[in-house]
Amino acid sequence: MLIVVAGAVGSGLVWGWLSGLWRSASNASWCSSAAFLAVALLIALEIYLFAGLWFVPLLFFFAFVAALLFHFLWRCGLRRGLTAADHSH
Amino acid sequence: MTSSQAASLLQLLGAGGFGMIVGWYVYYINRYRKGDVQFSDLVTVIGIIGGGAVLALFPARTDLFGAYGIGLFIGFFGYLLTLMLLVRISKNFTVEWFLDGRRHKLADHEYIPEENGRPIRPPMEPSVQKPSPKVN
Repeated sequence: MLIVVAGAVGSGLVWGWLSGLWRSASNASWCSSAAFLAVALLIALEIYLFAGLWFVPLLFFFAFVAALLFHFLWRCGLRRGLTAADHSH
Repeated sequence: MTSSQAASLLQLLGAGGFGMIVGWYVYYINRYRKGDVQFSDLVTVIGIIGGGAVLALFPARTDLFGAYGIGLFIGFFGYLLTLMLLVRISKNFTVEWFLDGRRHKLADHEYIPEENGRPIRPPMEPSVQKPSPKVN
């Protein structure tokens, strides 16, 4: 069971990070993030059907949101550092 | 709660290794894609990460899908970590490369072969970077 849980969290992190990458790469609005969230919910549902454990898709979804937010914060942090470096020149 | 069936170590390693390759390749393809993100890309990734094909490959209520997910995680973030490591040890790239692709100019004795091709965008920054128009 531990492997199933770890797998769901792992794939949730991958999907969340990739969604963040795509959102920043396409310069899209937050609507596209809502679409990604909807797709993540669908995948979570599919994982539930597969694993049969109610909390596993929940973990997948939490991991997805965590990775999306972390990607956003990381990019903001990098950009702030970049701007500061540009201004110091 | 349904208990999951045990899979053999070899099966787990196989599923994990498969996931690792797919995860690495997902990052690789995303990095080298030439156009903007399309809806078809979304559909493809759904198929890769959680789609019916994968679930058909790894039977329900076994640990195989879990091993696949762990492998996916290792492959995908392994690619990113490798990039970060390479940027860290290289003297020609800094962390800013992740945002806007800046790097040092090539030295006189260096060149990049044409056939190698280069990614048209840095890993994290918005929009496709278009070359500036030539002024004659």
